[in-house]
Amino acid sequence: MSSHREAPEISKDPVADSTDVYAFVSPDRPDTVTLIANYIPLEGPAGGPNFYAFGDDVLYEIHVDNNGDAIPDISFQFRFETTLTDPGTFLYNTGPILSLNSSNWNSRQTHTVTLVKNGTAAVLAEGLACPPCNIGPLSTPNYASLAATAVHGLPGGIKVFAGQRAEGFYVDLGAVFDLGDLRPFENLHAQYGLNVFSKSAPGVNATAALNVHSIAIQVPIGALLSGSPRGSVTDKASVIGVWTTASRQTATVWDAATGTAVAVGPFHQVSRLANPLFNEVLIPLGSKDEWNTLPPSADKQFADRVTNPELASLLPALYPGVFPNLAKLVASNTARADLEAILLTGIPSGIVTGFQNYTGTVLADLVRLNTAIPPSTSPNPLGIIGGDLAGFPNGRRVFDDVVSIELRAIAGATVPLVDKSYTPDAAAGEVTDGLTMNSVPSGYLDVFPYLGVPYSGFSTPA
Amino acid sequence: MPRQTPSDQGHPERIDWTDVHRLTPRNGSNADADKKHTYIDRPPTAAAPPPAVPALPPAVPAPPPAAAARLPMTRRSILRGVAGVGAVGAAAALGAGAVIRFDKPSELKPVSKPVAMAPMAPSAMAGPLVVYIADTTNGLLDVFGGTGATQVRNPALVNQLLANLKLA
Repeated sequence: MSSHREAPEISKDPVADSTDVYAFVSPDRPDTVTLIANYIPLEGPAGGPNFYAFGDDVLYEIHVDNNGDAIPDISFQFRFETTLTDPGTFLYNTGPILSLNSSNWNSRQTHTVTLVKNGTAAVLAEGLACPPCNIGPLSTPNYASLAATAVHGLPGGIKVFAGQRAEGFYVDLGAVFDLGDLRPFENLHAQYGLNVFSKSAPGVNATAALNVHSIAIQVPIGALLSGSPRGSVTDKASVIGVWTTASRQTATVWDAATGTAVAVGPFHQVSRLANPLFNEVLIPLGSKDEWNTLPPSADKQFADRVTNPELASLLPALYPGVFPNLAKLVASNTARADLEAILLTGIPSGIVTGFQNYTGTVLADLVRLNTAIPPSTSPNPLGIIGGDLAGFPNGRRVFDDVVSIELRAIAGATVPLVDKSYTPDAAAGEVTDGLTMNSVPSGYLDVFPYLGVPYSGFSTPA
Repeated sequence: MPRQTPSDQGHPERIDWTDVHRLTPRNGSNADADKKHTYIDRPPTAAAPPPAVPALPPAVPAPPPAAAARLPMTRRSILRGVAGVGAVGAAAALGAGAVIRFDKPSELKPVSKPVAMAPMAPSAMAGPLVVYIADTTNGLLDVFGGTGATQVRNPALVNQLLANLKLA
């Protein structure tokens, strides 16, 4: 998955498990950037009576680096507080929830937004209501309009939303984790001699009926940049690097008398995410937990995992004869400068006509967004490899087909960006798990927070 | 790879933004969109510098087991009371002329820096506190409270706790 359950330790701690990060110039407010960090992977919509919620004991952050050192210049911190209206009932709600202050809503959350800038923390707003989870037509009728009231305006033209959303990331988990099967080409899989597949098959979106919890904030571009607002595309100061972290307090003691955990001490990072699939696919199992505790400025030690990715050697092995040129490239042990540019430094000027999102020589996993690129009027979910400069890896939009993009990049489709003599395999430009943005039943919103209305427990099979 | 329907055919040439659920912000929620972007500044989050580090005194011998046995130790009281024991112990050590050493914050994760936070509310020091002893041989206690931490070296207290544990 993008980063769902991507490391052993964080897979045991869903409320602190970041799943996706999005950063894009807002299509309906192009003077702003929208930043989204998703948490709590694979929420079954019917998961009551204690429906999903952010962790009151987790510090969630969205970071922005605006000078290329991979150290946060601006961080938005989010803390949550759960309150019970009536501790005497087991019910999540005792009647229809028609408003965010409904007395029928028993277990509710509010959040506090704090800005950390230049080492100074300032509370931007507190007591902001989160929406309830989408339960069903009796408990949460008119859910979309109810959730819309949880979009809060803050001083400075900022909007914020924190609550349940439909999973917008699409991937064929069941096939991919079955020894790298890609259903559209599974008849070409080596199949370990089992000969299970005789023909291709369409992809299956494993997240099609699942929800996540999203933290979304929309900020005027000028507030995120180091220089003057909205420079030119070639201006390095137009580029920001974005990532999210979740942190927990150092000491946790189980208070057996109250049946609760007591957490105290400084917060330390337990989860990190920027580019999709980075920790999940590139970092080896023995280093994944450590990676989650490190800042992006420490990613240099993992650079060889990017420039010589394990998956690039697996593709020719799993699909014999399909990736001959990739096999030769892997055998030559050539460091993949294309992948380094896409994932660790940004793409310098002169590589893609009219584009750059280069942040300098510091190797760091960041979602790099050139804020001077306006939103596309004809978005292509394949982003830059699809000719759309406003899409991944220039930031990431909610509908971008990051699985296909990264598969194709690792398969060698982007090598010619840095080595004109290399001819990608024909398959490199076609490889996919067979899904598209249309594989997401909820669809997406055309306004903030852009991710779709969450699936209700009532209408979604468990 | 077979000739196949190009995967991109599943991607529409243009996204129909109207053909999706619409979530309309509530009225007035963005009324400040045109205001100048300003942030409220609060005091820096950096903690106050620790006090000067005095020299360590000689280790204080652990109390005899009989004295330790008078403490009502149960597993629950250890889980819940270790912070209290640590705090009391530290206070007692101060009163007895022993020394608390304020070192750098916890050494649990040397590569992971604490997150910058807003200043702690004074009520955070009302408890609970948690005391963690990673290594009983060096007498170091990590003390956690609120969002802060400090480190105390008190071999005598560690020895006392060990003695009590043996009797628990």
